[in-house]
Amino acid sequence: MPEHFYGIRHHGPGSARAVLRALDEQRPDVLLIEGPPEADELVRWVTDERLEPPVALLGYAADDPRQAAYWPFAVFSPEWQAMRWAGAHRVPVRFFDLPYAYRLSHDEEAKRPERPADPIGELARAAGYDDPERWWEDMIEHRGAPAFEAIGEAMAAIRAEAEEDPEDLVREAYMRGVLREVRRSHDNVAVICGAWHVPALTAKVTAAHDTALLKGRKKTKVTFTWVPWTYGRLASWQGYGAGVRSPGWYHHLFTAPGEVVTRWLVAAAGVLRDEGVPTSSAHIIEAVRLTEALATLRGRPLAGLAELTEATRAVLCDGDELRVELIGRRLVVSERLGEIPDDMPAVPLARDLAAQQRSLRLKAEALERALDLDLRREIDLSRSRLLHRMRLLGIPWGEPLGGVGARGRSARSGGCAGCRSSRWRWWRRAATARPWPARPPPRSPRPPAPPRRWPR
Amino acid sequence: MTVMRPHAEQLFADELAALAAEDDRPRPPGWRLSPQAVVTYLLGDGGKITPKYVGPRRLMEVAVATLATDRALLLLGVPGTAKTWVSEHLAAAVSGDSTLLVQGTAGTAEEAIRYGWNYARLLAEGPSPAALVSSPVMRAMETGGIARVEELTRVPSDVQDTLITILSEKTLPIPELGGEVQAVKGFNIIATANDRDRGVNELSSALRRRFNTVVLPVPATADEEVDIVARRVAQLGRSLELPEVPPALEEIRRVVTVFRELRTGLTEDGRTKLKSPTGTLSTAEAISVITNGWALAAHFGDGTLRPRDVASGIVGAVVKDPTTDPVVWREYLETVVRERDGWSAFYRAARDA
Repeated sequence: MPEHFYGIRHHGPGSARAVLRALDEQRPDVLLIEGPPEADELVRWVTDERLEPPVALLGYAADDPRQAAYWPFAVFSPEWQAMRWAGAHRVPVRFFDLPYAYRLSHDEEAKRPERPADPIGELARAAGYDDPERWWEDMIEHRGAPAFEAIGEAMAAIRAEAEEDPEDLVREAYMRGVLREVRRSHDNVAVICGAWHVPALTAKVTAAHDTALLKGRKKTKVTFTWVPWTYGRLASWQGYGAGVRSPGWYHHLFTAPGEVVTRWLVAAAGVLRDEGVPTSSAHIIEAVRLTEALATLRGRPLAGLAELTEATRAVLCDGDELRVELIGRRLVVSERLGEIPDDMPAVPLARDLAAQQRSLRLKAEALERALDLDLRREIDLSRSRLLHRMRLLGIPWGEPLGGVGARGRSARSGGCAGCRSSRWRWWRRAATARPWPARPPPRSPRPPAPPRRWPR
Repeated sequence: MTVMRPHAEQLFADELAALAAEDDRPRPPGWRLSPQAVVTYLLGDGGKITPKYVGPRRLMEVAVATLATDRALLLLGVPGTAKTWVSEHLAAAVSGDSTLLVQGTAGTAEEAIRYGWNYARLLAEGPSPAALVSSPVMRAMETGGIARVEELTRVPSDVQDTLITILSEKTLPIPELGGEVQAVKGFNIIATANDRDRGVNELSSALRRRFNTVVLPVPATADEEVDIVARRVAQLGRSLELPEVPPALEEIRRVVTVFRELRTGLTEDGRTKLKSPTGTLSTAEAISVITNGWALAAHFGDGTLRPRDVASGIVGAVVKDPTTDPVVWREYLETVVRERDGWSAFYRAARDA
């Protein structure tokens, strides 16, 4: 029975494209994706146009929302693209990783060996590339190598040398169990998981061995939902997606119809023009030429983010680091925020917050903005109250900049009686304004950070 | 009578020849070496080729890629960050001639950049090509070499703008003769500019656009700076034919530490804030302080580099402005140097200097 294993690079646009091509060719009956099985019924939302990435699966203990974890997805994540493909072709999807319920109760703080968080990135670095996605494009897409077989073999070779993480072994045991179950009912199976796991899933292991590994795990009641996410969070994530320091660039690589280098530099020039720095087409032409020249000098067939950044620095920004950082923020990371439909099941607190945001017309965005509130107006007063309440809860959604009083005296904090207006610097963050602190996803090879104390 | 400071292409002739012999990569028109070989020449290969520039590799790659794409190169940075040094070596490696140099000053006139006249001939025969005196830039255009313009921002703005046509159309019109000089392939300009001084004429945006800018930073870590200083001091000592003195890495490290702490305004352990003096305290100055100290030790001392040999050099480099800098130096001496282990000899010497 045909069974295909697609070892992907998490959040890699090259992997996403390769997966789509492979799925079109294979036409599987069922799709198994690395992820928490409790989120299976949330997969149907992926085809809903109102759920716009970047979003994340949020799983939390039902009686203690402080214990939570996130599984982020961007438009260029292979898992996301696979789910959309499955939705369009009416193929059932199952998440087949170890249930989150088992992982919550388990002590994760024990010392775990470091295994490479980004094994495909390691392969790219070994080949002399510092941009793993461009390596993938060059190796696999331009040279037409049979991608996933080669990746599987490479991973087997790397894993033979590396130390095994016990958590990985338990998860892979569960995954193999699900595989056996699915094989009984379905013929044509497609498996999408991190490349690291492919050798373990294709290995011949007995069912008894796997059940033994899974013994003794306690189950906790957990709830799952979709939440909006930002590229900024994706970039600073410490979990399995480590190595995605440039989600804006990956988004560009995935969505640009062609002329990747030119379009990127045009966007960079656009960012500078928005800030009032005159940048002409001649600048862009010269920047493109320098990018290509640098790539040739370094012996790389495709110019990557490093070459683009150097060209931006030398031509568009005149060597000014400040401008380069601006482009880094706006373009390389980019401030994209995902959206979720209104009828998404959510935690009551989050629902209440969303309702209040709507009624006060304080929309959530990932930008920073200065907001002037005139406290004599009912709506601005309510907005000020909401922002103060958020601050009390420890969510710095807005920060008071100080108000100017009616008689010209300035107040230290906005909203004092007698002041006409209060000024707020207001971060329109939504996903980051979670009413509870959360730990990074348990998949991280490094021990997660301790949760923030909830103020009582 | 030998020359004090040979040009880069003479000093490193054997390295350049070795690179040219093994270089089988394509060379841009007019270049002696391929771009990759030029980068190797600048950064060294750990063996026969010594490093000329110690710093991030990507800066040299951008500089060489710029020249390879016929764009002019502008090297920026505070004084003492090897801008002129890199410009000289780049010109030597690419075209084999680093002497086509225009020194920019506040009094630089158009003749230095475009062409001048042999006035006697001009008056006798009238305008003719024989009466023309070409500038280094014009000669570079005619032969396809690299012209160097130092301190471009000190040149008056109207003279700066003569470069615009040269860089965009690669021609130098000579209205008096009704003709022009067109640049041969391989021509390029490397300019250096200082962004820290007073009396600087900012480049117009039209001119700025014709350059690719590379900012050369101060060495990032103390170890890098010590490496640069030690290497250059050894080279300079050999060329000045100073008597052999055992290399005193400790003294070099001391000078570099003093300079870095005063430059950044913070001690190395990050605990004490310091005032910075008016001078730049660059790597180049550290090199000259050590070379000075070496000469003192060799000729007037006992042949070993000691704290007292470098003390007066350091004080001279730090105290540039007689009104504010002595206070800064004394504060540094009393709060930091005095408390440090193993620096007591230096403290005493500095106090007396």
